[in-house]
Amino acid sequence: MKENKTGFEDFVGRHRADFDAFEPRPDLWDAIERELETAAPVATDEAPLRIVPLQPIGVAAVAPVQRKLFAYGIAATLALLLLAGLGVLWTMKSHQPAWKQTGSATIAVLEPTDSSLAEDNPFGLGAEPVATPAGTAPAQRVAAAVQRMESYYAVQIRERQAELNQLDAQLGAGPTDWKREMTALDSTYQQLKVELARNPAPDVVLDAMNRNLQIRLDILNQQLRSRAQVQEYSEAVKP
Amino acid sequence: MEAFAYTDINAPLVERCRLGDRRAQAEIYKRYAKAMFNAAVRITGDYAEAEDVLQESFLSAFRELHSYKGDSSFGSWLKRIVINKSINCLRNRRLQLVPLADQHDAPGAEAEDGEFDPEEMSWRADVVRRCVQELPDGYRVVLTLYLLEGYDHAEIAGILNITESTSKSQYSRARKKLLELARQHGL
Repeated sequence: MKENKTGFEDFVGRHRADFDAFEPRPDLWDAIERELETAAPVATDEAPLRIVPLQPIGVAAVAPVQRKLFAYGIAATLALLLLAGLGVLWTMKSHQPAWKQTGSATIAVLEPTDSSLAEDNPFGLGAEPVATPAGTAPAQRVAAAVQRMESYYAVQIRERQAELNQLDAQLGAGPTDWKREMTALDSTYQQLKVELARNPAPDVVLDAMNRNLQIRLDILNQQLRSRAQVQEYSEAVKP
Repeated sequence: MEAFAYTDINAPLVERCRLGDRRAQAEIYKRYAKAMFNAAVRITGDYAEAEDVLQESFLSAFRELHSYKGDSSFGSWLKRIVINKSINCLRNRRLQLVPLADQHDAPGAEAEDGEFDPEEMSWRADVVRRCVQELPDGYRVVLTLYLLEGYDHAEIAGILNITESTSKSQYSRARKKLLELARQHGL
């Protein structure tokens, strides 16, 4: 009897995708978007910014994969920083700076001290946004978004970094390019965080911060994978 | 609340949605619409109503994103909204005074276990899918929630406000009915 139950359920499980045969009409999203617009006009549409790497990705293609990831990471975050700065000029010219429109005060972020950049605190989480009394919902939303983003990445980055440090110690630490890159990315991140406070298009800066964190995670994952591969290889060729 | 214990691949995108980033919202819609729509179709049994449910669900989700705390994946949270709205829609339309799970069975629906061996049947997903749609409401909802939406009987009990054992027996009967329908369709 149990087998009967499993046969049918197994079939459905294997063909699960076939049960999602329908799609909603193509313009349904437009209808949703219209409703969202009438409730709250979105300021981000006023300052569309292109994300362009400072150096062509093709240049990095001949270099080892590691270098490509590092170079693109730094370049992308700096490019966004630059464009965020341009965004300031643009919105000032258009006389419709979204930040000022809501009448909110900008949030101030304390400069991270050296102690707050400890290895176990990669984002200088001691640098809490200090909201002025006049700070309103948008500023708080941004601060909350930063906090959520950092707590999402902090654990994973911390764990992988600890794992890598341990592995390097066991293998007799070789050159630690990745550590230098992590430090460089971290300092870029701190610059972005300060920029966040005064940029009228905070979501662009948030995007850059997000990429920075993701790139750090990618680098660490890649380092761990390559060490695992080396390990597998050396075990495979053992006599 | 500790940081995510699992990796929700859409977490950064969801964060941008919280800020009203339209592009992020459009991307989230693109990723989830099809799965959510089919869940709504299965439960409401009506294509047009499912579209309404889908629209209202995404609107609710984006407007009330502040209530999403990240203690489940975004997809599960969104699906729960879709399921609830679908069931409400079904209840309103059918003017059910009796909870969905307490529908009386049609005569002859009580087949014995092992009357025929599904192992011998050659299944076809499209036929099985059509048979699901032909089930009476109560059976269709429980079977869909268990078999296709991945809820367990405890969760279904919470969603439909029934007991866990009622959910199990409803599923068992729904399953039998479905196999019977499939056989009638020539599987």
